[in-house]
Amino acid sequence: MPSTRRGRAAVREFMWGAAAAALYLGAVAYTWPLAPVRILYEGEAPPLPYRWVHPPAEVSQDNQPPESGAGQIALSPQGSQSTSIVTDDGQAGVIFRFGAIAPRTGATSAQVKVVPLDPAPLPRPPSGLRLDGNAYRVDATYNTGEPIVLRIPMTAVLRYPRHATMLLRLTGETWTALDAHIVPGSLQIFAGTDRVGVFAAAGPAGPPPAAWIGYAVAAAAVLGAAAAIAARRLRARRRDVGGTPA
Amino acid sequence: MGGMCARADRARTFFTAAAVLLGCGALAARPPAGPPAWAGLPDLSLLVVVVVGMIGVTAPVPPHHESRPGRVQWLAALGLGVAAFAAARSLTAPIGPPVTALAAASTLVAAVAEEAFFRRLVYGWLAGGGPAPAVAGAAALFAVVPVDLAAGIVFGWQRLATGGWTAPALTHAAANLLQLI
Repeated sequence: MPSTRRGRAAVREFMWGAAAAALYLGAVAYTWPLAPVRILYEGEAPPLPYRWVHPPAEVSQDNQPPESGAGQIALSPQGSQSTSIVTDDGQAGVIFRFGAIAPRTGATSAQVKVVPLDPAPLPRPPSGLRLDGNAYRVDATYNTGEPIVLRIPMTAVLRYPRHATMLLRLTGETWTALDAHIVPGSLQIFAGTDRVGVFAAAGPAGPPPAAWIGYAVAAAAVLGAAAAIAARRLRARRRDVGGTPA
Repeated sequence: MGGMCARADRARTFFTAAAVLLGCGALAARPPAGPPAWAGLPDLSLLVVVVVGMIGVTAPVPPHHESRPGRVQWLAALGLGVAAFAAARSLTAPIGPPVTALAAASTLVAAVAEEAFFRRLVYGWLAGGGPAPAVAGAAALFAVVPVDLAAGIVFGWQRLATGGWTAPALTHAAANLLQLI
C-alpha cells in the first residue's frame, strides 16, 4: 500500500513536470518568431569576427567579405508559408510568419534577397547616432515581378559589431527607428517592419560603455565567493569545537 | 550552546541572502561577450558566470528535508526536460552567426554555473517556504537575469523532482547545445 501511494505521488510529480514542459513549449511557440534568436544562449564567448563591406582600418587586414542570402517562399490562397531567409554568414535575416505575404493573382511564390551594403554612401543617420556595421537591403518580389505586399509585419534581424541600441529602416532619404529588441549576448537586434527596404543597426555616436564596470562587478563577486567559503569553514570549525567533549 | 547555534543560523542566513544578491547583481551587470578589455584576461562575461557558479556551489544553503528519489526518477526527470527543450528547438530556426568551439564550450560551462547558482543556492534559500515558492522564485530570478521564466520553471521542477541540481544542469547544458545546432 505505501509503495502504491509512493507510485501515485511519483506520477503526480511527473504530471507537474509534463505541465511545466508544456508551458515551456507554449511559450516558445508563442514567442517565435517574435524573438527569432537563440533561446537561453547568452554568448559567453567572443563571437566570430564581424564581416564588413567596408571594414574600419583596425580590422581591414583580417576582414572577410559579408555574404548575401536568398530564398523562395511558396504562396497559397492564404498567403505565404512561414519562412526565414538568412545570409549565409548569419549576420542578417528576415522572417515571414504564415500569411505575411498577401496572395496575388498569377503568383505562386515570392523571391526574397538580403544583400549587405556599405552604409557610407547612404543618407546619414539622425543626429547623435552612428550606424553600427553594414546596412542590409531586403528585396522581395512575386514571381510575376511585382513587389510583395505584406499583410503581417515581417521581422528583420541584424547582427551588430560593437554597440547598437536601435534598428533603423531607410525610407526614401530618411531613416526611421523601428521598435527594436536587443539581444546583447549574441550582439543581435531585431524588429517588426511593415515593409521591405534597407535596414541598419545604430547606436549612440559616443564610445561604447566602459568595460571596467564589469570587471568591478566580477571582483565583487570573487570577494563574495571568498566570503562564502570563509563562512563555510568557520561553520565547520565551530561544529568541530562544539562536538569536542569538554 | 543554543545561543551559538542561533548565531550560526543567523550568520548562515545572512551569507546566503548576500550571496544570492551578489550573484544576481553580477549576472545582471555583466557585459556581453567581446574581446577582453586587457590582453591575457579571459572573457569577462564567462568569468562573471563562472564566479557566480562558484558562489552557487560554495555558499551555505539552509538545510531542508528533501526526499532523494531513485535513479529511475532522476532519469525520467532528465529525459522529460531534455525532450521539452529538443521539441522546442524543433519549433524554431534561430538566426545567428555560426558559433566557435570556444563558444560551445563556454555555453556548457555557463549552463552548469547558472544551475549551481539558481537551482542549488537560490532554490535552497527559498525552499524553507515550500517547494512552490522555491520553484517559482528561482525561476523568476532566472527570468530577470537570463530572461527565460518558462525554462526556469522546467529546471525548477527537475530540482524538486530529483532533490538535486545535476539534472537541471545537464538539461540546461543540452538546451544550450541544441540552440547552437
